[in-house]
Amino acid sequence: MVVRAVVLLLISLFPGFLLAQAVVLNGIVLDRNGEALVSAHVFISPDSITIPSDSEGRFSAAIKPGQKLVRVSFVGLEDFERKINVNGDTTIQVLLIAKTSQLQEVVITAKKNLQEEVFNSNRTSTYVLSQDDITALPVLGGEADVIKVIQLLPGTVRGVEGSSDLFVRGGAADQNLVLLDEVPIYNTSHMLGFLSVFNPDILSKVEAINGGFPAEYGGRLSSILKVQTRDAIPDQTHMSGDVGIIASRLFIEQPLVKNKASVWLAGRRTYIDQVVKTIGEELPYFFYDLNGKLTFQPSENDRISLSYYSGEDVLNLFRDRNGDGNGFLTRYESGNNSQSLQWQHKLSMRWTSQLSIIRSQYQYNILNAFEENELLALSDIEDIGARWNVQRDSIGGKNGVFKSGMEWTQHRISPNVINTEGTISELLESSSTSRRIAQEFSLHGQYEWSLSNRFRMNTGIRMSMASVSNRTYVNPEPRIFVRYKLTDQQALKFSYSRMVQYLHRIANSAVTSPADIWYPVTETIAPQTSNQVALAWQRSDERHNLFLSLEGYYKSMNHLIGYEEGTNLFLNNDFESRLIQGKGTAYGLEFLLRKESGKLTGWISYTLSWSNRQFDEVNRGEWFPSRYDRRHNGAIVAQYALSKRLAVSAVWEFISGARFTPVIGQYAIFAPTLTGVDLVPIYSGINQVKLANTHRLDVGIKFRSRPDKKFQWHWFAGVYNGYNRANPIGITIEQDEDGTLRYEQPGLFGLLPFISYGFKF
Amino acid sequence: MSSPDCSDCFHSSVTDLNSDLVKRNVTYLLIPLLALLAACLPDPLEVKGIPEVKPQIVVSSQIIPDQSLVVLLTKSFGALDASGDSDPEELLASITLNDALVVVTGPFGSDTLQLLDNGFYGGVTIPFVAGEEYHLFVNSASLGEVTATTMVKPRVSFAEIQADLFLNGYGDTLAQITYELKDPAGPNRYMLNVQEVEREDVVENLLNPRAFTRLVEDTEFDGESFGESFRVFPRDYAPGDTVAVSLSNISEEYYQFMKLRQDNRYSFIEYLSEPVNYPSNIVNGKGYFNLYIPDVRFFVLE
Repeated sequence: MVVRAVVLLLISLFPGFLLAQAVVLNGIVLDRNGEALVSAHVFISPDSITIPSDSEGRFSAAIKPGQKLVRVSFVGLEDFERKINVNGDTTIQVLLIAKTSQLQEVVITAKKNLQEEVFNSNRTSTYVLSQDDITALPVLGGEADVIKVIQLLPGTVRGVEGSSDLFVRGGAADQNLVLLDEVPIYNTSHMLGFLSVFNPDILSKVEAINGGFPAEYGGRLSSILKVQTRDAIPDQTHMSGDVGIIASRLFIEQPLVKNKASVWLAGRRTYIDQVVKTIGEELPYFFYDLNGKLTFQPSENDRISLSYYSGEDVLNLFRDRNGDGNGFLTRYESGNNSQSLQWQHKLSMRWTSQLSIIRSQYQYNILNAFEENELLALSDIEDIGARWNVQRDSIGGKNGVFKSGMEWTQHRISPNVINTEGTISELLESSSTSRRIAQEFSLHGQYEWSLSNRFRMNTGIRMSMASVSNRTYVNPEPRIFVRYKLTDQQALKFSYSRMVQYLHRIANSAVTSPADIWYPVTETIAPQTSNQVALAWQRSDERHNLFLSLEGYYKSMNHLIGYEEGTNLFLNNDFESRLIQGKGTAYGLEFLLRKESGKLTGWISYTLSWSNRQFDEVNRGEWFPSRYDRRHNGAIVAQYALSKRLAVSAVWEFISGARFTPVIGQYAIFAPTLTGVDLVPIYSGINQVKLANTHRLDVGIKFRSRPDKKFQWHWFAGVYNGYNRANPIGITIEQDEDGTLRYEQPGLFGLLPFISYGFKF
Repeated sequence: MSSPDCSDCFHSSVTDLNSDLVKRNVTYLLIPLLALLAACLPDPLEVKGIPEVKPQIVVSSQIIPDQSLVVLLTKSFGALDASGDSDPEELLASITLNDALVVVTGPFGSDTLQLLDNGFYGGVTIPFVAGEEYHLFVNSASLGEVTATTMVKPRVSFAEIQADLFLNGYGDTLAQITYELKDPAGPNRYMLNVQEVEREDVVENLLNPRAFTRLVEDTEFDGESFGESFRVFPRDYAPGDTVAVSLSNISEEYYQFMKLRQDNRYSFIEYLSEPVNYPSNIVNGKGYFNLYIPDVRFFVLE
């Protein structure tokens, strides 16, 4: 305003000269929802004029005629830059779009006030996190972990304590598609779920879509977790690291060609094995992650990036009690390996294209050997694929945005190979499940436009197809989102999505493990499907920086995967004959109150939900609660900046107990040899018993270096499960010294302190 | 000042200093690590809301080789009432039913079994005919009534059988069974059991005696002779041990029941396998009413 006033003043002082020479450039800055962007930064060169947009998103500047470069920027949105010829008074409209194709939902970024973007979008099921939120929270072992933080948001329930499984809106753990730079990652955890595979140093943005799925996404019923790594080209070398008690990590980014090319590398490894060695003990386990990315921007219209990820868990244990060289060897190795090539191209003023070529592999092998006995189990899944999307903004005269694209993935799966040698082969014969190849293909299109000043709508369709030997499945997946603006601060949103899943994980219903097998649809196993509707009311209070959301959802699922009663999946290659398919429903209410800036930041989340299943072959065909039907799920997450250098954080989480099927009785029948009686267990109804409720308090304190220092460091210390409460994982029967038997619910982790040191420069 | 000794002193003092620094840093790291490793384990929580098991009549039956039928009647009990370590005689005494009327009805009429001992009913010779249906009726004054129906499977005996010791060269001595049978036409399912027989072990291992069981289905050799050799794993045997090897032609239902029991033998952690309510052919009760006649052979391993 001041600058504008000065410009006007100058014009008035030199009326004759300037009026003969100046023209006026007017403009309006909007986001793609058609909402005016206040205080957008407008820079006009070569006149070197900098002005902000006003409360209606408008700007105006008197400039000399000629060719101008207009650059407009706004926090959280893609910068706009255009060359225009201004020979007379000119009016332009600037439409700023989101920084990547279609975001919102859970976004991790260093910027505040991102809930504004969520509020302004027309999709439901949207949550936003900042990078500081991820690294500030005292999670298990002190390792910053994306998935552990996501588990604190509404609608997402965790499984066994410490696990990285996500159960989103009543779905199963394998119903979440996790993408790392567009590449599917099949095993998202280290140390049996203790830690996720995502190094927080490499993250640019993480989006978790729990409902209201855009048409470009599919393949899983319950959520899409899109992890995008850093892709900005830095202007100088940066390095950062973190040393903790679980693992340490190092990140280096280096420009190669100024503003054109750069590379970054990140590594993380646990060194518990090395540290324990120094005190003369042995812990033959370690994990590592290695990430890398090469970014190249050959022109202003093109951006190419090549990403790489490799991570592994290795356990190598040899026990030779007698010292005679004949020991017992246990070796476990599992890991992901992925690569992606992405090319973003601006085809013309309004068209953009994104092409991705991907490869992902997950494999594990387990070896147990003793003398001549050997048991080896292997499994492997490898994807190769490509995805191409195009987008056109400002189409149709109603701020319309059109997106379309296609996607192809080939899955090559060796589900399970078991090799046995020696005497153990008498007990367990070698076997293998035949290798499978499945092709998945999809086409999608969606159009978003404003019906009126208050109504904005997005309709789309995704046609997906999977082809396995002798069978092809084709499924339409319609998508609809509607946003109605009640006031500038309040909005109602509605969404409907149909999702189809062609790949599933063979896992015990109680606990998942890295040794679980991925398996495609077959001639007899149909794809799983879901239909979900959601209705949300949202309020954004900019003055107090508060965001409030209340959302209800209903999801019905079909052809869900289950197993016949008594199925034991451990080293069982006959699992396909034991697979059954059934139905599920899930519904609930989600609440979120979030404050993003100020000394006190954080959120309160609460979910009230139900989740049920029905299979004809189990529980006499009656409906029963799903394993993770956890009625109440809430969290209070808070960070308080005591000063510029000192901050404290706390997480208090409460979740209703998971469901369980304990042994409640037994009976005796003749042993087959008539030399005694066998005791046969009697189980309760499926998931009839609820475990004890889980609640836990984690606290942390972070002390940083002075903000003006080039070399930045911090210490972060705290405690997980501060009041040492057991978070039950099941029900067992224990015997006291006097022989009395009793039930109890053991927990996994008690009070765990942590401390870490981080740096960056 | 340097001297021939001083440079060594300097070197050794620097080395000592580095060593001290390393030790200190490792110690600083170890303290929280050891705290982590030795972190408090929380006390387990109480369990509430476990449904109570209503006692039901459990039926278990067996035709012994002299063609007598023995029926064991017990009642189901709670998971906390006993375990595999409980005293077997005490447990059986507490769960057996001695107040029942047990009647078996076949093509030749009905026979009432006598109470022989704690829960055991029998003492009547019933002419079991292969292919015929037999009905069981049990009426207990305390637990009510149950019924069951089953068909007698034709007896199939070993055509050939041999049991030897097998040395695997690594100190293990396994029992190796080689046998042959003639399969009747039509679907048949076989259960082979191998059990070492020593008087003390029978008493000590009365509960869950862990007999070795092998199940065979005749889909590949229907109506033909069939032979194979297998080793009893993972038990160790010694020369002079006596083993009982039995062959039984069992019903499809009981075969599925035994297969389910076998599939869960690797459930080393209870809540990692799918729960199962085992099938039963007892109406309003549990267990199995079986009528198959085993062929039992004894061997002294040499």
